[in-house]
Amino acid sequence: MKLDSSTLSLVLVGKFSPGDFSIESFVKTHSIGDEDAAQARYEAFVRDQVCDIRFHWGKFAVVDQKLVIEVNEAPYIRASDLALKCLRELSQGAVVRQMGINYQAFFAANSEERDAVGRRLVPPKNWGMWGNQVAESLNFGISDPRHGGMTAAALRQGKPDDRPAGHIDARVEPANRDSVWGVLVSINDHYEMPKGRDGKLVPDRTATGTLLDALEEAFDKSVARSIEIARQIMEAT
Amino acid sequence: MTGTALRAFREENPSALAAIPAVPSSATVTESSLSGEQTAAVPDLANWSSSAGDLSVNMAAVSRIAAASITDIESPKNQVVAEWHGMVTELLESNFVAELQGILGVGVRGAIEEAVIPIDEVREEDRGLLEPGAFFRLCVNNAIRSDGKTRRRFTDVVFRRLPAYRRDELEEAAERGRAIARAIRVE
Amino acid sequence: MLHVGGGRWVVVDSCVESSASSSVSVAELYLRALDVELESDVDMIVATHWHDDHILGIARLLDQSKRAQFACSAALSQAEFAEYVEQMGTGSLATDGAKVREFAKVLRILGSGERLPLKAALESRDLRSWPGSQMPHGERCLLRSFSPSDLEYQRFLQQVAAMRPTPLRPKRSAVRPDHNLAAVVLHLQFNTCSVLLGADMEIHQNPRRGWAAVVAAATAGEALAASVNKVAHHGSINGFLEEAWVKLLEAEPLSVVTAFDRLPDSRKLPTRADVSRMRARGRLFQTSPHAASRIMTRDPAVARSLRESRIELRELRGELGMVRFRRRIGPSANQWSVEVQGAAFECQ
Repeated sequence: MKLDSSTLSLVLVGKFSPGDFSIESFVKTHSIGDEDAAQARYEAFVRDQVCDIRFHWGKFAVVDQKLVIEVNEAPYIRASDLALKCLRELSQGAVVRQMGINYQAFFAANSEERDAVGRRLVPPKNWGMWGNQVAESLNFGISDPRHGGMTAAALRQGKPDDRPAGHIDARVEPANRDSVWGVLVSINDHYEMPKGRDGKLVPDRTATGTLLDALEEAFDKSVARSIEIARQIMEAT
Repeated sequence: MTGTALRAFREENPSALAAIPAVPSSATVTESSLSGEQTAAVPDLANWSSSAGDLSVNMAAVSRIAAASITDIESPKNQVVAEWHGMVTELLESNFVAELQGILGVGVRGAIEEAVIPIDEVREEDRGLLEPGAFFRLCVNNAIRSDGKTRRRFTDVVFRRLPAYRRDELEEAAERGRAIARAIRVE
Repeated sequence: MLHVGGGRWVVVDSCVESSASSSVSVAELYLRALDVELESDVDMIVATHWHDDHILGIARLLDQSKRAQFACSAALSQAEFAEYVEQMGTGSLATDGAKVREFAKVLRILGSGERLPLKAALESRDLRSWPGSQMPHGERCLLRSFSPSDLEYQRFLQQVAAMRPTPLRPKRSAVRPDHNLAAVVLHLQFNTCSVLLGADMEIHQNPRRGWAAVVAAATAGEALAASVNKVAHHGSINGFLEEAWVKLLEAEPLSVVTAFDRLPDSRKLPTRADVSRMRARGRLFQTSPHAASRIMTRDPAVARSLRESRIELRELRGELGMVRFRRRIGPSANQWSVEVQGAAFECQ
């Protein structure tokens, strides 16, 4: 199964001011180049509430509690750079409480290959007699409504050493993208701040500073790790 | 993503987001993909209510809509096969010299190399960023055709647009420097 | 590296093996291989200037050498430079140009309060002396600096000021400043012989700058003509002053030069002409040949794509070599013996 396409999205959760962001403000702060600006277009814009911009390489979208940057072609570091530009320069009052560096890889796969992935990751025989029924149903044609199998598999790594709190989740499921059937591997590399010893949240400024520093330090490593996780999952199958 | 969720959203928000294009039936994407749903333990944005005329918008729905349509806009299906982190060390007449650190790719990742790159390879919009000390990424990509076959291979030099120095962070760093210098005895 | 006698060592500059990813300096590896106790036997570590091919691994070496006094250009001990280092060293950008962080670590070690004072090198300054009574060979040993001049000191600080990051400018890496003229030229003198270490010093039209200023300082200081010479600036024509060879060196000194390899290939040093010029004045040794620029083995499609874009990419992997000069110090006439190891060789 070959990698068909991949996407990187950076999701920040906290408090944001959508009014601070626009194609014009990006141009003014040199957050994007002239060509990017010329090709950019709003997918949604509601003043002070929503800003959703499409670029040739991805998108930027923000509402008051979430900011999302998605990049669908290399270099993915664009996501991190634009986020840091936005939050350290354009909109310095923003608060970040959680961060997800999310990598998705879509592998084109025919029905046999998809079934093989499903059997490997979620062996029906481990699901009792009902699982055996599902295993037998794999013999029906893919278009046969009786054909069953894995719908999703997910695994979580608890708090890695490189962050105050968080986890790494991997999820595998069949998917269709642009009329191509295949397997979608999604990696969510999640960072957040733990509560203090008194059970209270750390101050906004501390959380924001720590998470943005983590973004700057960890982005490349996160992407490389996620690419490798996806590769290993698919090679193991 | 089916058309059902989109239609439901449109019914809830008839006046907002009129610019959102309709999702062609071919652009089907699984619900589990992409933005935001995977950062858990947060206010469940998928269930924000929004009513007709209310300008608050369900961001998750916006994201899903964006996800649903992103693949049928002209987003290229490029696959990166090699990527380096680069720093400009010197400008020559028609080239620049850079230190590179390999990030991705067989025989690339982890390598420390030096490069001479024609200035022509730098996009016009990035030429103003080209100076010693500037950071960039060098990528080699395969552009994939809709039938899955490689259309062409190309290199891309993309200069990074990093945050500007802030006065307060520079002053804090300068104060640290002064404190260190004060602590050093010199003879 | 200088062994002045009685198991006392001075380390001048630092480098790491090009293939190694660690920060352990070649000096540390060499000294430990000789069972030298870094913690007690290294008396001084000198950073002649701040170029990255001279300071890699120096922070760890200093940290290990607890009794060593650190010496560098007086300008590098000033607050202006410390501020610059701290400002440029923040953030996590992966390619640390000019190795600002290496020097930041050095300054922090020195500022920890547990070290001897930093010895500021300027022209005509005694950095360290070892009385003859303390040395088994009975000769006094004196390490002096003959640069930078006051003028270069001021110019370097002006250069640092010009390089300082300013608010609202995008973040950049520190780049290799052009401050060879502010490098520390060292002279190690015994009663009967001496050694000249030229760092990356260059010539300049202004007689108060560059080699001309060094010659003036050394002459005024009655420096003994050296019989061993570490050639300045990788043997380049920019690092050569006839007057320096005539006044500061014996006739036919033993000279050693280190190669400098950077793309494009036309800039490699020393050139054939440089080698001929130096060989005309005595025996010449080179610590390693020019790095065999290795084209990384990678996906042929990637290699082709780079070629089509006329992008030249090379891993510059140098080999490690050593030239060792040894001489018995004492009243009777002695000669230097020369030993080459690893990739080092005598230039023919």
